[in-house]
Amino acid sequence: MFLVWHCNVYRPMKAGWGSRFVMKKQRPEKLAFFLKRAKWQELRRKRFRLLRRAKRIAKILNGADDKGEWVTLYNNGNFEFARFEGNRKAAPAKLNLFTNYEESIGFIRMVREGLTAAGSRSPAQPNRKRRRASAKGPKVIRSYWDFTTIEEMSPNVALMLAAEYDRARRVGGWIPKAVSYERWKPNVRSLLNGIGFLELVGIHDRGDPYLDVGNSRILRFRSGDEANGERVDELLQTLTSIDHPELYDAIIEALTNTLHHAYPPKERLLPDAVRSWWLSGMLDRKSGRLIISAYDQGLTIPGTLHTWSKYRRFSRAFKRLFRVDPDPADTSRDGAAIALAMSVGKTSTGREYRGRGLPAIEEPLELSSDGQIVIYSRCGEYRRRKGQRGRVETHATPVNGTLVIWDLIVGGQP
Amino acid sequence: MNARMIKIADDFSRHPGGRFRKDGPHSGEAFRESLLAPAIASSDEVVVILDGVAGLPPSFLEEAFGGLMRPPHCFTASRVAGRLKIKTDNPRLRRYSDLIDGYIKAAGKASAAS
Repeated sequence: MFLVWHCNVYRPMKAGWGSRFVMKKQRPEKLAFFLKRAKWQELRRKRFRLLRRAKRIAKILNGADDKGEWVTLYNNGNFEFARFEGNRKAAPAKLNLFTNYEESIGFIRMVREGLTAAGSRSPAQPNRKRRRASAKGPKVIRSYWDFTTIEEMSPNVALMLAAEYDRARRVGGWIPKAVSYERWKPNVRSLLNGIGFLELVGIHDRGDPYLDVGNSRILRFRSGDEANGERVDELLQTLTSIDHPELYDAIIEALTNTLHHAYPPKERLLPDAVRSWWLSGMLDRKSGRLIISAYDQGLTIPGTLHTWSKYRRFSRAFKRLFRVDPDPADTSRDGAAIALAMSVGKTSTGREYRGRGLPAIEEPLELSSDGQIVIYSRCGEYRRRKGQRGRVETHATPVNGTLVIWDLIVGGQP
Repeated sequence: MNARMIKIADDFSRHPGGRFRKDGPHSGEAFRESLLAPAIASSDEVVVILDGVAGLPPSFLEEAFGGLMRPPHCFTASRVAGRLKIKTDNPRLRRYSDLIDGYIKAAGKASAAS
């Protein structure tokens, strides 16, 4: 092996007959790549050292002391120790809407309620007792969401979780610190890192638009309040190298629907709602599986059907199916309501020429080799696999808003 | 003959999307008002080239082309169809040509009925 010298970066060169020592001047973009890679490697080493240190100290502290448990709190790329005395809220082992819907949504709702309640409280004033306690000893925490119990997490749940924290940050300017991050499972850490969640909880500021983990490329979530084609195209280009006009159209239509219907100006929204959408994606390069999720926290599809001008048509179809008039407050037939809305294909604005949004969401399925489209809205679930008819389900626990998932097999390598 | 050529990707945006101006920076309403309607009003032939766009969402197309038949423009569907030519070399964008025809016909029928 020989080493090639160029601008402070050593690169091994394969030896062979006739190979010689070469001094080669590298192109500026290549040099920028080497510098960026060196920076990443340094950051990775630093993070690893930090985690190892936290793990070691927590172990020593927990071994030496039987009064409560010691946990690590992460903030702005650093960590501190705190004594935990109270009630731990463990996350389910499987956070996946496809395989464990009720528990996953239940946990996200618990996080939302906790963040909303904490955001509405005024910051605690340190009284004399508290000041003395903090001067004397370590910080004490009474409750936290335990992420160490999570074994498996799907990208769409990660997006919903990131959206909740992002909402809390934007509304109240406050988000809880990550607790015992060094004990989270590596796959959960990678997914939350890739999607941008770790930045929200102050672990580190990655700043990159995506993260490559093994065969997967995870895209950092983006959020906005308009149907911005540039951001959607950037997302698709980062994941796949080829153009996907049908997918572009479907995502833009989903975002346009969100702007027109999910957050109507005159309607009362959920407490602390942010009029925004959240978008993320993940590509498995080996299988060509592309998962894109678009999420909003608005009034949901079944919740806004009664404002359609074509509501009479929808209502007639609903009555034919169930022998009762549709009730906007009734969540027991939300799955069927979404399926009917897809087939009626009208939006809630009441003009004849509008209402192409929902059917357009399904179009990429026809042009992909395999996959499925899933829509969760309030308690309803609408799922259609390639070559099959739509299947509906109604759950007991509602999603806070609407989540659209395109889970497709596509070509193109990033 | 007075002809006008509009290449959406170069003259407007590679990333069209949204129906109204409030939906986003490259909406169907903005495209219609800034480029399409003036071209239809002043030219005998308008060639719209689709190549280069990331996609053309249905609500963008409907508002841009179907909106020509609604106030304040109120062109007739036959006038728009007679003057407008859609071109593309990309086979994945060809289906938009049929969609545009459909939107023009539907909007023409709706405006005639009202």
